Amino acid sequence: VAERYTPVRGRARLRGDNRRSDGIFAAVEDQHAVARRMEKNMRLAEFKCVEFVEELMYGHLRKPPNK
Amino acid sequence: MNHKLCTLITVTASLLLGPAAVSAQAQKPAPAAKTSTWAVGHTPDGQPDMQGTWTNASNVPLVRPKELGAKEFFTGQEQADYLKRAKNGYVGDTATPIQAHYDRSQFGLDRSQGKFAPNLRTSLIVGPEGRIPPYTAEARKRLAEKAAKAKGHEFDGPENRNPGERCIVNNAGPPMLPTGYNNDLEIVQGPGYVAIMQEMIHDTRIIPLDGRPHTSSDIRQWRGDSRGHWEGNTLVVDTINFTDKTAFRGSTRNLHVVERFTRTGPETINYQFTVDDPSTWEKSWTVEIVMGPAPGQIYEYACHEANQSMTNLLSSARNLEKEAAEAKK
Repeated sequence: VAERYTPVRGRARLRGDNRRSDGIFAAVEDQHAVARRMEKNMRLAEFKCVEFVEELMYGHLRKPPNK
Repeated sequence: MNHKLCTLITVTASLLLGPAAVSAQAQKPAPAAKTSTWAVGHTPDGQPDMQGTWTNASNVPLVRPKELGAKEFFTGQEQADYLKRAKNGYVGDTATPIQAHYDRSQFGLDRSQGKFAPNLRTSLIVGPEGRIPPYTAEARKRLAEKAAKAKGHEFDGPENRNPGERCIVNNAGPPMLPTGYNNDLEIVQGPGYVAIMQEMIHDTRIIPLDGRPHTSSDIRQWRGDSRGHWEGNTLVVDTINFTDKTAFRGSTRNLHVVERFTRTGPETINYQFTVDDPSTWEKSWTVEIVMGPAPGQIYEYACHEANQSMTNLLSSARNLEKEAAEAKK
């Protein structure tokens, strides 16, 4: 995968990628805008995925209730 | 690496660095490094340059072995002699023998096989006591209740296991305490930010340096909320807003961590942190670790993908319960 990021305006970046997998499928090109979040105090928060998938992964191995 | 092994090593390391009680310490700086012409470099935007791959692995125990009393530093010869008597090239091994059922050297995990930045401290905790201060009465009650509630339910489900076994948080902190293996991290700096990526759990902490306030205390995170600033050549990082679940050595959501990173040489960073939680300890305590270079690069660490130990641990518990129930019939 080759990605290209190009500033286009103050708040936006243009992201394009060109995915190749020789012999499996033809190159795929994609281009879309990446907008900058401008809200006051905007920031990324923690996302601990594991906590949310434990039930899926291990739910069947839990001790049954009342045992 | 087999995650069952990873888990065992993590647990073993926790035991090695285990909690203790006693009291007081005043900060005392490490012995001055030899005079040299080296001077810290700077990034294009003027920050002291900390960038690179580093390790905070250490052969110094968190808590000072009792036989060393108030002795805070070895001489070079004293440390060499002490390590000869210790097992596995680890100062603390004479006081806390490792309970392992396999040969750790087979996996390159024996501490005598590790590389550590030179550190003449007798314990990572600074001061004459070299120990974690006593818990407050409130903390003793809280932790006793928690232990009583957990007793007999250690294997009920994943939430009953510790965050390291669950691949949620490990040695990335804050504070960053070394564990049994893989203490490698990378520091990257850009205008207004410092980023610290720890290989274990593959977690990156992005620390703003622009003076913005902490997030609201309503927003709690496993790793808290970090803000940094420079004091001369020292990067100071202040972190609050932890969750109760983080529980660093019994702490509460009131944990406050202040870290200080100082580049002290071409191959060393002095990393010092102070933890404070009036709900947990009678006073704050400080740790000092010398970080050294970790040749190579940081790789991906997909902890959850290989976490067979959690599956094996829970399924084994269910099988034992099943066998016990059948035996009663």
